[in-house]
Amino acid sequence: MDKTEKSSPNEEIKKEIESISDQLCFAVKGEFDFFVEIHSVDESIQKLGMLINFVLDTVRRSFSEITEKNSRLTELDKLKSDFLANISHELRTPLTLILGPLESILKDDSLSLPPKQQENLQRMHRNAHRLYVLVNDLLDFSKAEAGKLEIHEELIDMKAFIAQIIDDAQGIAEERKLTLTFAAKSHLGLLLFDQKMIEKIVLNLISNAMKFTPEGGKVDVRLEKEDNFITLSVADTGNGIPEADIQRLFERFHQVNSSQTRAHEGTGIGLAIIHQFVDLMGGKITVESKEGKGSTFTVRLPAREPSADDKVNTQHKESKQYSSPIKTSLVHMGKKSVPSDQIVSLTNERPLVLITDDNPDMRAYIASLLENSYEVIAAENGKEALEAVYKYHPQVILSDVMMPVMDGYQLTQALKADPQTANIPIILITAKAGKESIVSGIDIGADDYIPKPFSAAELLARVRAALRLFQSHATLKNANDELTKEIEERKKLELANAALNDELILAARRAGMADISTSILHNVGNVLNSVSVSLELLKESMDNSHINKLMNIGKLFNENISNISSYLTQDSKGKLIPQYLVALSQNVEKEFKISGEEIENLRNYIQHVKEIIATQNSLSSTSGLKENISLPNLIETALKMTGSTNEINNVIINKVYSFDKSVLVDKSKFTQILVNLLQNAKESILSDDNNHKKEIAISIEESCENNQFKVVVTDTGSGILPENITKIFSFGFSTKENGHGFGLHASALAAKEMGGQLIAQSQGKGKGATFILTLPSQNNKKKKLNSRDIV
Amino acid sequence: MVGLIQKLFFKMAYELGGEDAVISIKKEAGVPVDKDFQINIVYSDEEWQRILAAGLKILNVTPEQADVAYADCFAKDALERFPNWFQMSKNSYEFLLIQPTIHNCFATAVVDANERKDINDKFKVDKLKNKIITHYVSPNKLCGLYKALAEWMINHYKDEADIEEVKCLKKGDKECEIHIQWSKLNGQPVEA
Repeated sequence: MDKTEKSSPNEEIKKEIESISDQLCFAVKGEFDFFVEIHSVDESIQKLGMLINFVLDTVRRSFSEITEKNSRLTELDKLKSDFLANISHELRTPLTLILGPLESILKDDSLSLPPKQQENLQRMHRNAHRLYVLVNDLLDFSKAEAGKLEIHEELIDMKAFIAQIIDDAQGIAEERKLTLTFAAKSHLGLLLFDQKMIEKIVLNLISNAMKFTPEGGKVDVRLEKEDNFITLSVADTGNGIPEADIQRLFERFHQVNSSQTRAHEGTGIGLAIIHQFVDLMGGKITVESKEGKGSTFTVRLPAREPSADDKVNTQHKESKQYSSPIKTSLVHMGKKSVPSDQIVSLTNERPLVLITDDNPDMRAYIASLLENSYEVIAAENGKEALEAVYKYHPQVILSDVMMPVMDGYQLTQALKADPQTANIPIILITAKAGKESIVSGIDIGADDYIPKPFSAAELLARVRAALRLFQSHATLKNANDELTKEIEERKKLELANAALNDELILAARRAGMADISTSILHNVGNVLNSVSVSLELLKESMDNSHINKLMNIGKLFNENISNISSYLTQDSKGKLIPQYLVALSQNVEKEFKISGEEIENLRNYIQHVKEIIATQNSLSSTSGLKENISLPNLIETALKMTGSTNEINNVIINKVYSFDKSVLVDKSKFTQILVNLLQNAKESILSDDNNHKKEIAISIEESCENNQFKVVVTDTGSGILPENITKIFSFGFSTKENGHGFGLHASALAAKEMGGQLIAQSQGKGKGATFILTLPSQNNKKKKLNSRDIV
Repeated sequence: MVGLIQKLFFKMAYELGGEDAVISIKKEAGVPVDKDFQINIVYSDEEWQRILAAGLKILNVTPEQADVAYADCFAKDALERFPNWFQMSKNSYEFLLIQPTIHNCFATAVVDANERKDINDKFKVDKLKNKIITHYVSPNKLCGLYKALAEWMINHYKDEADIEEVKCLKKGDKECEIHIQWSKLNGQPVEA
């Protein structure tokens, strides 16, 4: 290989890299409209070249996109400026036609308008003029944007001109409790300036200074001439400007604290316009500011005296000839249309509405709409409104959204967060139309939203609706308060009732215990009577027992033991003994039988006492036990218990059992009822000595209705007086001398508990009585008693 | 068309038919036999059309067969030559989303400003959830190659997708519109 002709691969690559680097140097100009050429046969270098060109192409595409977008934006900006210029221009004609006739009306003393009309017209004039100034600002701004602003120089006595403006502004400064001063070098002479531009610069700087300076502050205006320049400075003791905002202060649309709810009215183009004016006049505007201390704006302009070449209007005006629009330009700043002393004259006769707006004319206008129907108070911002709400308790609040110190949203949030004020309807009024603003307002709790411009009728209707809402809230609150009060009283009553209930339960428990005791006494008493009878019978049997006679026989046998055979066969007494013994044994057997029966009775009585106790126990615990039993057998048992089996004490017992089926009944209760009825019947018969017919009739009958059966006990006893027939089952009522008044009461209750009833019939005194016990014969269903099941 | 395409096409021809096939194709296409294609230089689309037609004839393959074979050759080369593209894409969906940018920028990167104005981007992609719709406009009408490449990528990443061409330049439509709907990505089933 010839080394002089062919370089090494490394050198080849190095050469390619150098070539690539050289080509990339074009990029330092910020231009990417090139590509890197690669001639190497090395694929790695080719790949590198490919990717470098790829990156270059991507950058180029991005630049192209940005340039295209920028071009579109510039075009749109121009269209917007043209639109602004056109619309501003178009607005000036109708505004002139509003302002002109309005001024004529206001100046015409012959019209003698009513004060309210006069006030409304003045308000219209002020705001129409304000609109005129704003439109002119927009026109100047759009001209400046389009580079169409031109200077029209004329000779001005700058000192006199500015002094006039300051003089005119003094009234407003006083209203706002500000000190406005002006100082100038003694003689500045006549200089060439564009008067309208100078006027706009001075007005803008003064109005800004007064707008941002709180009450008691100072605004100092100075004018100096040094060399070929005049220096105008406006210094205030206001809020000052944050350092971050100073750099952008003269940018169009920029506002200090330009939040959604900016603190002060304004378009944000004022300073941008005067910056343009100063530029155009070859001057410079600067600002120095310290937050909380104040700001100083300084305008330095070249001071030109007219030369022979200048074709300007050299006929300057005398100082008095300068007419300043300051009064109409600034008047809206200071006027307090709804003085606070109005608050003092409040009556409680009409609903109270609070208006919150930083624009005094708007406050005054809304107040004038409402004052015929409502008491009206007003506040300049949310903070003042909040204080007024707690002090005067308005029923409706109308609030602007964009206000200094505290905006409408913050006011709404504060009021809705406090339960004390949450129910006061808040209607937000704002120039910000559109769904987003409405949603924001409603989201934070506002009750309604009125966009500007609004009609008087709409505003009044919404206030009326809000008032109804407030009244509904109030009604509901009152009802709620009353309910709460009632609930508290009921709670107290419930507590008292609970105590009373405890006492009643205690009393009932005692009464229940007494009932149980009485019942036990009564029923056990019945049984004890029977026991007594049985014992009497046993005692009588024992006393007259034939056992003694048997013992006598034994003695005789003992005495004749040695000749017992002859004694029994030959002795006159002895011969009678065998026969006697047979008769005696029969009597002893009879005695034993009677004793056995009575002992069996006693056993039954004891069993019944047990059942009585069990019954009371079941009654007290409200449960019962049913058994399948034979009614005739049960009646026989009851008869035995009462010692009335067939005929005792000459009382005849007649029994007719036409229904002899087994039934499912509470045996204990059923027995208790029967014993009571039989005992009463017997006692009733025996209590009447003159009663010759002593009879108790017992029958069991089947009732076809409702599968029932009846047990009827009729006696021929003393009967029941008609007046007592209804009382006979009452607790404590008794016709017997030693009665407890419990037996029939308990029996009737028991019958009822068994699903039946017990009734009494009598023809009157001495005519006997009939008791009819009706019970279900197939009572297999569960029956509820005191919420517990009994089967 | 960037020379990488032609270079790889002849590489494929060589693999299928040897040196003779490459020479025959060049002769048939009217391309100088000693002409070598650089990967970073853009060559004419018309020349490519001739090379492609000659390739199909000499290699005796159908356009579909050629697409599949070429896609395999192209993708394997890309995997070796530009491995980062594969690493920066987690799946075939992500890879096919950046494909138009790669293609378009390579196409316009090495031509001067005047020529560039006449070059329209051949690929445009609509990104949908688990789906892309590719719009392709080119006199080369290589939609078949695009589909074959897309299928290669889907298989490479072990994804699953349906490829459907709903419009085609070859059928007289103004563009090719290819819908790729994934049913499995990164080993996981995905919603259609």
